[in-house]
Amino acid sequence: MGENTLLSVEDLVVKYFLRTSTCEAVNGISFTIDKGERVGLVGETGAGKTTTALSILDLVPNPPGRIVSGKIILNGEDVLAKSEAEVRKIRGNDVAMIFQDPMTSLNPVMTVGDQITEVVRLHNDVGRFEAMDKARDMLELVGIPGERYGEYPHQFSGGMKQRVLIAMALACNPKLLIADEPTSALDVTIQAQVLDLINGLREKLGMSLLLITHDLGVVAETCDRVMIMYAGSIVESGTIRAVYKNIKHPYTKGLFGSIPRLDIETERLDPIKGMMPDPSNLPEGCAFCERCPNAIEECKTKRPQLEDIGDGHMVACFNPLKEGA
Amino acid sequence: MLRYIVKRLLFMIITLSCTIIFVFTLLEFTPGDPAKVILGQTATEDALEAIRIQFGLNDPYIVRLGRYFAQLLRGDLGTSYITRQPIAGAIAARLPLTLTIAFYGILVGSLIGILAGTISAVKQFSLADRVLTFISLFGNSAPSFWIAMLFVLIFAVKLQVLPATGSYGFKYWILPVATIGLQASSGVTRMTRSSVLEVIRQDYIRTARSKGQVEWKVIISHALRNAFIPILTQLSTQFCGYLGGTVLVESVFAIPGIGNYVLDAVKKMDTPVVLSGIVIICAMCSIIILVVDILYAFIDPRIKATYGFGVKKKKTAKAAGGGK
Amino acid sequence: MAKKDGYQKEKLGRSQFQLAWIRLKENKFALVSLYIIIAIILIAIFAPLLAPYDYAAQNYDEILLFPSLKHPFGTDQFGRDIFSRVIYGTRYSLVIGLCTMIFSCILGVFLGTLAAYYPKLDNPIMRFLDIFGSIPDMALLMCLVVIMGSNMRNMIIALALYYTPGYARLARAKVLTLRNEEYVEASIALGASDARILLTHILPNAVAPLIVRFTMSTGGSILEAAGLSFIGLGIQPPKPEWGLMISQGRGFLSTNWYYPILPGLCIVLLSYCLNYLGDGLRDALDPRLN
Repeated sequence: MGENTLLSVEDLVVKYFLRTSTCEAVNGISFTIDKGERVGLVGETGAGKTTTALSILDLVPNPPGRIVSGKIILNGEDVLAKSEAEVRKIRGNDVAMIFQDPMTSLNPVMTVGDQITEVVRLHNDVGRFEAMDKARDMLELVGIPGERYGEYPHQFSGGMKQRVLIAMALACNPKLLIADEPTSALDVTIQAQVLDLINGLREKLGMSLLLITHDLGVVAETCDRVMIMYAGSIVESGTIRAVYKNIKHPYTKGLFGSIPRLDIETERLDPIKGMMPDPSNLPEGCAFCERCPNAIEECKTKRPQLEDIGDGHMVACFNPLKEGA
Repeated sequence: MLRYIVKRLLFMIITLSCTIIFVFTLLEFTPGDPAKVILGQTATEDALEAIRIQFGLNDPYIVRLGRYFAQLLRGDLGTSYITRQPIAGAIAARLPLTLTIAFYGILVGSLIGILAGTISAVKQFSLADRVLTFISLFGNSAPSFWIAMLFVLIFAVKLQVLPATGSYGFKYWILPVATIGLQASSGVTRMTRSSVLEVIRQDYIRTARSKGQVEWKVIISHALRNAFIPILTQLSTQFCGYLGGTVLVESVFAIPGIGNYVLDAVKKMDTPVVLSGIVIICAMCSIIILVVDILYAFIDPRIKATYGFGVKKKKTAKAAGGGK
Repeated sequence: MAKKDGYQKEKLGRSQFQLAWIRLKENKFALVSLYIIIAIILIAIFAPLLAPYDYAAQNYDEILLFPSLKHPFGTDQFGRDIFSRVIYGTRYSLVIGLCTMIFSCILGVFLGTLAAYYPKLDNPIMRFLDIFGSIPDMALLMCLVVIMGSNMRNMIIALALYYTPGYARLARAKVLTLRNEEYVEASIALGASDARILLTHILPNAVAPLIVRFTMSTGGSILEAAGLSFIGLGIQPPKPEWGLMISQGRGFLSTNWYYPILPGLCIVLLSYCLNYLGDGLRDALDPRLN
């Protein structure tokens, strides 16, 4: 763990204890995020991306969810070991989060301004009017006129609501911004605007970014490093360059195969066959084994661990793809 | 907003008029001769005819209905067959008592109910939740007059700390208010629980938590306000239900309220009193429902928007609703 | 989020009601409520065998006795055994509750479906029911009792009319939403008749909320019936109806508390079980509500 590390997640295990089964949402993942670094977390729906993000804020819905083991070290201190009051000081202040669906993430009966003011006052020792001024500034920063302070969420469009949420998240200058699929609920035309906004502000305020998405293109544009998550585990990670140029894990390749491309003439897309295994009933071996074209005997019985294959490129696979495959 | 209120007020008057016509027509089918109700079975035919003319009983249905509406507009609720006294005066003497007791009962019930329901929802499946659910379901399942008698038995007969019947001051109101309060709080608890449960699963609650807000403030300022509309509806339902059934509690505690007055009239076939009593109760309910409808707008800006400030905002509100 | 219920997969292929039954069985209290209700129904059927005394037999040697082994619930001012009267009382409450609900359910569903299916009838029917529903329950019931007189049949009619608008609204709302479902549109496109669509596609899907309402309203109507009898507008003496017994016993509250209180306890038990079962059924039939 270097001097420059902001967040370090170590061996995080999160489970949802349902009435009839236990769902293993996150299975012992580890990663770090450096100060000012932009990291993408990619995976399909149900891979445990959101759960991972919520764990960093200790906000996994409990019950039924619980962080079973692991450490989340932020600025050298373990978040999970802190008291509830101490964690609250981190939420919104050191780590802020933008949620997936702006339509439902704003309180419909509170003015947008008051919702920003709330977070300002929680973490700064300022008076009401000062906080309101700050909230207006934040609205201006994300491109909304400050006069709209007193309006309610239903008076804003989806893209504007996401801007409000961004303003709210950035109001206390967080060190880490977690953006959980910030654009997937928006129109394509708005998506680019919102991403540009996040990126620009991130640079301006110098914070780290954990971008959760299922869109590899977005990650390539925005991030320094990427982590591919599958069934609660990270299967491949590394710098954008390393991973995109030299895909090692068959799942990553499958993800790329599922995107239509304009530059290569193909008859049809090559999607991954089958479905993600039921997280309440994960196979003994590699979770991807059943869908994997490269599976070997070993995959059925043992779970592969992340291993460094040089240059910080990590992959969890017994039979990784060959160079240039 | 004002335009909405005026519109609703007009609508309320129309509905109320329909209700009046409906009840008036229903009571037309009352068996027996009203004149005999007034004079007794032994009256002579001449005397009966005289009374029929005096009360206008020989006029056709439509004339009498029109006359009743004309009377209502003047604030005259008609004359009782039995006492031959104006009904308006009798109701004016009794209604405040009924309303006061109902108001305090609903107030106590809503305070307890909202608190209990919120606790129940936040601590879903806990022991407290189970106990509160048990008690609230009990309150919903027990007849009000039985609860009233249970209270009388405990506090008036056994402990002898409170008077059992009558209405001579605040002390006499405690047991009736407690009875209504228990029933109202049961309904409110159940509604609050399900409403809050629904709301605390919403994304904006997660947003509030992710800001680092203290849990009880998340519940009060974010969850409860959003959960409040169904609770308010429940409160108005309770209030109307109680007003209608006020006779049950009033008869146990011998409270000279409007319920006992109407019941007495029902037993004596005093139809003008029954009619006007029901009309007054319905009018009270309509007013409560109207007030609650207007309160909605102050709780939820989306509803306020649909109440109309011009067409444009109506559209955005609809879009917001559809996006959910 | 990775929260998949493995549950649904293993139980695939079972009907909605089999699934609901499985979920209901997990809810111990609801199951106990169901058993108690069944027991009360059996008691009502076999009342003459179970009651130790004739419910109408007066015995002036044994008036106002406190509960004892001989008279588990004591005796009233005519020396009648309250326990036997309570046992016979189950018949009144159950018959009133069930008849009321069956009549109001059939009438309400009929009116509601009619309103939903024929837009021309929608407004007249629903507005009329709105007016009906805007009158508070007891006031309407008292009004109906005035014109029809107070006996059991009229009370059932009055209660059934009172509960009709609720069913009509439920049925109408359900039909309106179901009619826009694709499978219904598909059968309309195939030329199925209105009656056929209603009976094969819409009503079976509207049954779940109707069952829940039925169960819970039965409890409500039993309470209303007891209330009417209590104020002297329902069942008339000397019949052993629970509400009536409470009313007759109220004068003895300070000396013989068991007389009015115990019959009331039976009302509470029956209505509580119905409400609890209704809650359980709602959860079982619509697991999303939880």
